[in-house]
Amino acid sequence: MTQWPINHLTADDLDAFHSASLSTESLKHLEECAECRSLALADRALLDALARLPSFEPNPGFADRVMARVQVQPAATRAFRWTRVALAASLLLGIGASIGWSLFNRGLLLSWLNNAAAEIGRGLWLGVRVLATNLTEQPWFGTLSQAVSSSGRLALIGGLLLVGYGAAMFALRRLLVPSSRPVPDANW
Amino acid sequence: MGESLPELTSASDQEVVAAARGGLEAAYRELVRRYERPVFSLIYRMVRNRELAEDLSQETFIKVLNALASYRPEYKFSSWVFKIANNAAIDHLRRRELDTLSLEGSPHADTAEKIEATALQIGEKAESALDAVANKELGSEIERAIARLRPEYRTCILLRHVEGRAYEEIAEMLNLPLGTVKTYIHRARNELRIALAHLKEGDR
Repeated sequence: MTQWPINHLTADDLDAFHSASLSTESLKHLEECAECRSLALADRALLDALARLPSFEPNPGFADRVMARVQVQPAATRAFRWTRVALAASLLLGIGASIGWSLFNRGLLLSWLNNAAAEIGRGLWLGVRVLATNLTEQPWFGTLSQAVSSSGRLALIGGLLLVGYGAAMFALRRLLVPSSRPVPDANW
Repeated sequence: MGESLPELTSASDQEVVAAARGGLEAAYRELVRRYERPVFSLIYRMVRNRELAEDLSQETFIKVLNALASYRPEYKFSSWVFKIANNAAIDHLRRRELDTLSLEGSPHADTAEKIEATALQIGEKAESALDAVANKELGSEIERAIARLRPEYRTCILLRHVEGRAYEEIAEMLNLPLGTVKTYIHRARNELRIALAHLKEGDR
């Protein structure tokens, strides 16, 4: 004779029993199985007892004590937020309007840009000339100019500068190499 | 401000939160009024000390109300409040290991010495007035059985069967998978049924 396994109520079945939505099959099992019936009734009694547990109230003045330590955000903050939104919106509007205007006035815009570029170029050239004039008017300029006037001396100065640069780079690299000595254990 | 009070009491949580975000102090108070009892009850049952529960409840509301700007209205406000309350209680239990304070000693104690060290020594010290209140309020068999549950089981069973929250909501509050929440609740129910079985037998 084949013995089918007994399917006792699962946790989900118990929930279904409490919400009166137990399947017909499980209801049939419940009628036949004293163990499951006892479990379901005990569970229901437990849930009833839990639902009847009282809720507790904090001591009087609880809300006042909370409010004393809460920063109520004033409506002004909200107004400030709206001001920021309005500022951002006007900025976007301004950018949009300027793009629109430049699309319809390309000729005028290009002439302005050309004028501005020419003015900037003139200004830069003037700056270079002022700098060069200042340099040639310095008292030491004559000596320097004589010193580099012959190609041999120029090569010597260049060579010395190159050696100095190489020595500086070598020293810097030595300084940046991490120490190969072990670090003492800090016992962390 | 007083005129808006009757409107606030009938408004939904989301509406009250919106009013509080608009800078209405009465709305802040309304949120405290709505949740002070459930939040305090949950924390009180978790830590079993009235004074401490009040401090942690205050901490919860201060966090909630100061962070209203960051609250996302697509989530239930109550879930958010209970999540913060539960975190406050669990953090405290972890910090102070108050979950070891049970009449029988810590459930994690593995030696007789540890069990003795973590057990509540009744009559050893004079009972303070607050302890007396807690013992009276939480002294029933079922409250003591709840106190003996693991903190995570305790939170789940309290939220589900005392506060009436849905499994899904609890999973969201506690950042746990739904299956885990169901398992915790059913294990907690099993433990409570076993712990309270003698009462039923006594009734017969």
